[in-house]
Amino acid sequence: MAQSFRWYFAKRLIYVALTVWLILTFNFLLFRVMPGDVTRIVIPKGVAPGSDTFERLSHYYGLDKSIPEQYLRYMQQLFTGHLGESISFSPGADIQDFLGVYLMNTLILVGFGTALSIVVGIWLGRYTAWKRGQPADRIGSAFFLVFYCMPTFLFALLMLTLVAKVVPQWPIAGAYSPTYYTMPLLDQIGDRVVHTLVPLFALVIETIATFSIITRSSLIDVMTEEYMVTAVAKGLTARVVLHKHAMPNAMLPVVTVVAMNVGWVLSGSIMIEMIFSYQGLGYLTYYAVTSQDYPVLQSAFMLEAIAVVLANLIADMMLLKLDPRVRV
Amino acid sequence: MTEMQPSRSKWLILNETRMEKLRLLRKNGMRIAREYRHSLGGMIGLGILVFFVATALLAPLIASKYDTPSMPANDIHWNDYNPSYASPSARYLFGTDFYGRDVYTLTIWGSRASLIVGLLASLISIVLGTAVGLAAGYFGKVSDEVLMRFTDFFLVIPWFPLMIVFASLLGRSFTNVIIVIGITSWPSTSRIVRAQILSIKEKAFVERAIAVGAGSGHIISKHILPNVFPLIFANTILLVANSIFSESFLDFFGLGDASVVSWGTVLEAAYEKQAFGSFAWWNIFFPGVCIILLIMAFYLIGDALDEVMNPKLRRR
Amino acid sequence: MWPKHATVLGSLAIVAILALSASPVRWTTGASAADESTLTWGMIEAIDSLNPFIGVNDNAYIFYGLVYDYLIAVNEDMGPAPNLALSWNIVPDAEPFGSVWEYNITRNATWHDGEPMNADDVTFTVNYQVGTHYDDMWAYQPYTILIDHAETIDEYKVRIHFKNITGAPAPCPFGDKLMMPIVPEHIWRDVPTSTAGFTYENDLPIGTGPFVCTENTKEEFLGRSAIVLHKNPNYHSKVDFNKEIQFDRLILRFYLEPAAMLLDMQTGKIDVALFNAPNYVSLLDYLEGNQDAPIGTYSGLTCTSYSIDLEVNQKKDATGVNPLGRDPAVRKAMAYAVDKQFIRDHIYRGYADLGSSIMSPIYGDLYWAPGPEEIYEYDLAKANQTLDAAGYTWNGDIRVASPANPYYPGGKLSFNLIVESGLVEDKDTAELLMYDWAKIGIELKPEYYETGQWNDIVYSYAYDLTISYWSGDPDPNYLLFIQTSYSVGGWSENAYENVEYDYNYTKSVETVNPTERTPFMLACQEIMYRDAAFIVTVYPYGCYAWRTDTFDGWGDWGAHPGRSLSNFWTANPLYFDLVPKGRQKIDLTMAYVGIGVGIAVAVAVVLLLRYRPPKEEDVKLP
Repeated sequence: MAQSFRWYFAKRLIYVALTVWLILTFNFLLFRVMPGDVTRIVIPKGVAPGSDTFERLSHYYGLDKSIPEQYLRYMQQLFTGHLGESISFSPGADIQDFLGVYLMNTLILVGFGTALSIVVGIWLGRYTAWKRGQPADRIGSAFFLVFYCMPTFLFALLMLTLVAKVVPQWPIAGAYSPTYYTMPLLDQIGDRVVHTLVPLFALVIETIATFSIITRSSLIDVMTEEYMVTAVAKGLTARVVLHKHAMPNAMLPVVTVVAMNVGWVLSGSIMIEMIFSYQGLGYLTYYAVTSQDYPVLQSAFMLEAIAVVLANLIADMMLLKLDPRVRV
Repeated sequence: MTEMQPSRSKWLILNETRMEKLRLLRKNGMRIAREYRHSLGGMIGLGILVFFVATALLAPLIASKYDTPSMPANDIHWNDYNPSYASPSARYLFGTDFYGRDVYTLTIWGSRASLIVGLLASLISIVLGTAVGLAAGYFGKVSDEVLMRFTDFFLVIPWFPLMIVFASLLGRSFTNVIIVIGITSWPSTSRIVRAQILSIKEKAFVERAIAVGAGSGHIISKHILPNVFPLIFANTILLVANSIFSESFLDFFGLGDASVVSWGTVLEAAYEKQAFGSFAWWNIFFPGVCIILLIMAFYLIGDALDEVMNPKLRRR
Repeated sequence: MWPKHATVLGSLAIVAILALSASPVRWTTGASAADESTLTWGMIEAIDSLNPFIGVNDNAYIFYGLVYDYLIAVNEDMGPAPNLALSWNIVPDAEPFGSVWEYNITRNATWHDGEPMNADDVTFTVNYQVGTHYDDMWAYQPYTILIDHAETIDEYKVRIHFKNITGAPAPCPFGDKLMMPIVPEHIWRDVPTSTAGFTYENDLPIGTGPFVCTENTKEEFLGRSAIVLHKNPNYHSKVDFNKEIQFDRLILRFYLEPAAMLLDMQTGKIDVALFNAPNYVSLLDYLEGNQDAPIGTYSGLTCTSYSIDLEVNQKKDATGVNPLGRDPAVRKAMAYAVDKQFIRDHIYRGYADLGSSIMSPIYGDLYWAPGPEEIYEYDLAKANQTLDAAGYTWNGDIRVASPANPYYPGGKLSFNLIVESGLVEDKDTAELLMYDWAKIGIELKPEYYETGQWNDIVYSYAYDLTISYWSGDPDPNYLLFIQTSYSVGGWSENAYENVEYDYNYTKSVETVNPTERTPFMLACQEIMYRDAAFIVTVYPYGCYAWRTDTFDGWGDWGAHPGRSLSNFWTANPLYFDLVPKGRQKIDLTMAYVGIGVGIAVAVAVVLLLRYRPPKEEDVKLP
């Protein structure tokens, strides 16, 4: 089976590449369709229309060329690592220079968020499934339900107000303090933790609830299967039953849901980032849209999309490994 | 016994098989209803849903008698100065918002928008998703790859930025909100449908049907769909919950139609006018709780239906 | 289920990510960072560019005013104060009188990189923006349009030659109010104006101003969180005026959320900020409940003459634009139908003055107030009468022009109203107008757009009405300029052209004698008001708050508007008067809390991964 697995993996990689290319093209086309004259965005006011300045700027941004030519230029620049220049968000700034800062912030938030959600969510799901019917399960499930149905932004605002009232000293805005750049390393880490904690909590509470619910139902589903009865009849201990038989099968739908949720967590982080003024990719996306800064938007979109593609790839691979029934 | 009529369409003939099928359907339906009643969660969810639907339908009657019964009831009574951010009282059951509008009236009317968006957007989503998932899962190979790439593509595009982009392109109107939600949430359905179909395809009875020589259409409608349908149905309900959430989300961030009264736009106005800072909690609490309750209702219903319609889970 | 070494790998990964995320360590030299006295200024919008020729938003201009100097600054009573120019005078024998001004530059100013500053820098800065460069260097056009060139007389003496619109030498009445930053020649001479005006990043802004950027400024700017500036130890004011900044550091802290900034003000994380009306009201409520909170407040007309303006497009023969906007009767009716009091009382919560002229009362004697004969009081009956008299008849719910109407016979009074969607108050105003104007038969359709699109639509004159805002400089020339016909296609937002207005404007800039200028400036305001193509709704107040427990010396901003935070015209006298009370240390306890929490969370996660259900428990299968 190993060889076909490798072959399948290679096929999947090709498709990932194809998808990414499609995304880039879609990206490019979408922003050429946007309303509004790009040069007008760069030049807010004062310059008379028809003057040389407009033409010079058009030429500078390559907007005077035909769409296919622009597309080639766009692809070329991408492969040499140039993401272009921001036109209104930070006029003139090279996007690859500042994108890193925002990307890092979001990676921390979303990365830890997803990891935490998975670990805690699955653990809680397992626990409540195992304690099915008992008070622990009932209370837990009620909690999950409420948090699953609560809009993220509402909860974030609630947390913001609560933290501000109860612990006034706690920072509620930004990914780090103003004096971050002058702090020694250890303090910087601590600073980041403090700033990321509340947004993280607001972000993961819903995903934890989701994963708990799905793990719990999936696990309970599995426990009704016939082979579980067999396992118990064979005299296996609870631990073995849970880990060797129940969990692996229960994980299948969970993995699918987790993969689907990465995209969600990324989108959800936008809400969190805006409410907590957390300078991440979502914050950047929103700002780029409102200031109509297409190059920045293109780059942010691209990153977000690629992240989800990768997550899906990993999920598919795991699904393959875990479910022998699915033929390649 | 009914006569054989030389009619235009053979579907209209009520012969024994069809009568039997209808009888079975009715029996099944009653069994489902009976079982459903045993599920506490399901009943609570149903109760909440009925409550909100009734609210939506009876809105003109139960809204505050001081307000004009019109939709959208967004009339700010600009020249009659109503107290801004008045706390809940006998006159203003849920207090007023920044503009002096009665939050109670707004909440009542808001149920309509949320329900409409939820249902219509999910409908679009289900139809698209099922069609794609079915085609991909069943026909396999080439069509699977192509359709899955297409689905993946949509799944992969960051949802929120895409929404903003579409909102700017299409303009911020109520119908556009519905359309945008519908076309960005179908991929999840298709993925689930396809995964389930792939599993079912391998099952013995399908192989047997193929061995016997059954055609694709027959297999799809008689074997695949009935097994997939419960899953879709339960998923539908969840999608409605998701659509309601999305709508409030879009409104809150200024992408919805501000002239329509919905819980999301009430929250948006509250947020912009710093209700949080002024601690006008009623402006946020009532619409917020309604959103949570409605989403919860759909979720509970979907969960209960899932249990009931999937025989394996009955033993829970 | 989990690979054996998952926990180890996981922990390593966590540590690695955290370490990577902490940017390269930078150590402060000299005194430890925690001992420096710091003024933290909360701002809502992050600045959009470090380049003084590109930045557009208010906070960007504040930033430039901190890092750069103008020749002449503004004192606390809004009069000219010497800055880089210690003294100035009109050159008496240049013809016409007032067309050449001479400035004596201080010898004590140095650029932040150590280079000495002299007259060549001034000459360079001026010539950099005029002549063929005028189009590219759009940021200070209201001034550069009237400058011909500058010349260095000797090492510390500069002459600027002024001209009028046609290019002929002409007197300039605001030679002592030229609001543009002086930039270093040795840096900017290598930057072509085509990049300077649009794309040059100016990574490390070098100015002569009281505050200095650091090597981190670029990163901080891109991160949009905060910018840390240090006091300039060599600022020329010490030697020239015997004044110096008395705190070590100035932090500009940016917030997306006004609510977050308000909370930080209440908890003392920022020292001073400008609030919008709703948050200011919340703050006052908070102060009522907390009488001994050490927070001072002030609200009043801004020193920048901030106004909200309803503009009616006057472009002739513009496609898609309703020509009836050019009918003076229609505009008059519109002016009668704007309920400015409601806007002030409910939309701005009382923190505004009723609007009239484009120049707010902050201009004192130069402000023209409409008399009882001219004023457009809110009166729907009068609005209806005006429209009736002009032949607009009712057709259902909307009025229609008479067949004899010269602008658009039989046309409907239906207009779109372009509003920037990010401005909440404008949205409310739009709804109010829509509701009110329906009563006089005008159908108003608000449309909401993002800033970029709004710019596009408005500056290409493809709209009927719009709500905009303007701020000015100490010399009213700037504000009056935007309604001249010379500004059409440039700064003018409504393509308004009026010969009488142009004449008065030209006259007002033709003489340097203030008494001669004043009647023309008043006439301009009157004409603009009367024509109602630029209807000023309100002058929103600046609502400020500051901590009294961290700094003394705030002063009275009502009596001396030039002290307020909004004086961005460099060397704001406020900065020199602020005295830190007790040394504020940067609170590092939170960082330590963070470290503790981080460790606790990591430990918890590891434990979670290891937990197993009890071995002996019976398996309960459903």
